[in-house]
Amino acid sequence: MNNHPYLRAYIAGVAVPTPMMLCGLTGYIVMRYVFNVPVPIERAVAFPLAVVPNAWGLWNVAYLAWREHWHLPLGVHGAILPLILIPGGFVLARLLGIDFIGQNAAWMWIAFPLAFAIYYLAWKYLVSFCNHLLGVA
Amino acid sequence: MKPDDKEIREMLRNAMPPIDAEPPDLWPRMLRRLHEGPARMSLFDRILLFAVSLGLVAFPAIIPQLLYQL
Repeated sequence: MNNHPYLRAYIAGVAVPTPMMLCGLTGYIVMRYVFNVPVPIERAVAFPLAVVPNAWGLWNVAYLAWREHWHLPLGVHGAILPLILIPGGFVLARLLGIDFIGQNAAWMWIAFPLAFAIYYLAWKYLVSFCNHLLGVA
Repeated sequence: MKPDDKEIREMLRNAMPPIDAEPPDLWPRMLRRLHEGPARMSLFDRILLFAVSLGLVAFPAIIPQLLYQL
C-alpha cells in the first residue's frame, strides 16, 4: 500500500467530518424550518460544507508530509486546526452577514478551548483510526 | 546474446512483477484492521471528554457556533 499516500491521507481526513456535517446540516434544517429560527442557512452552509471537510483532508496530508520533521502526535496536530478554522469561519460569517456568528465575537473565548479539546479527541481517535485503516500511518 | 546479458535479463524479470498481474485484494486487510477494535481511551482523554460534555451543557448557545465552525 505505498501508492498515493497523500491521496489516502486526504480521504482519511475527509472521512471523519463528512458524516458529522450531515448531522450538523440536519440540525440546522430542523432549526430553520421546524422551529423557525431565523438562520440564513443558504449562506451559513458554505463554510461547514465546503471548507471544513477539505481543511481536514489537507491538514491530514500536511501531517503526513511534516511528521518526519515535526514529530507531533496526531491529536496535537489536529488540535491546531481550530486556530485556522475559527477565525476563518468568523471572517466569512462577517462577510456573508451571518448574524448569529459574525456579530458576537465574545463566544470565541469559550469556543476555542472546547474546539481544541474536541479536535484533539477527534484526531487522536477517529482520524487516527481512518489513517490506520487506509495504511497512512 | 552474451551469457551476461541473459543473466541480467533473468534477474530483471525476477525483480519486477509482471504488468498483467492481478492487484492484491485489499478488502481482507481492511476487514482485519476493522476487527482489531478501537483504541482504549486514557484517563486524561476521558476527563477531557467529560469536560467537553460539561462545557456544552453549561453553554448550549455555543453549539450552533461550534457546528458552523467545526
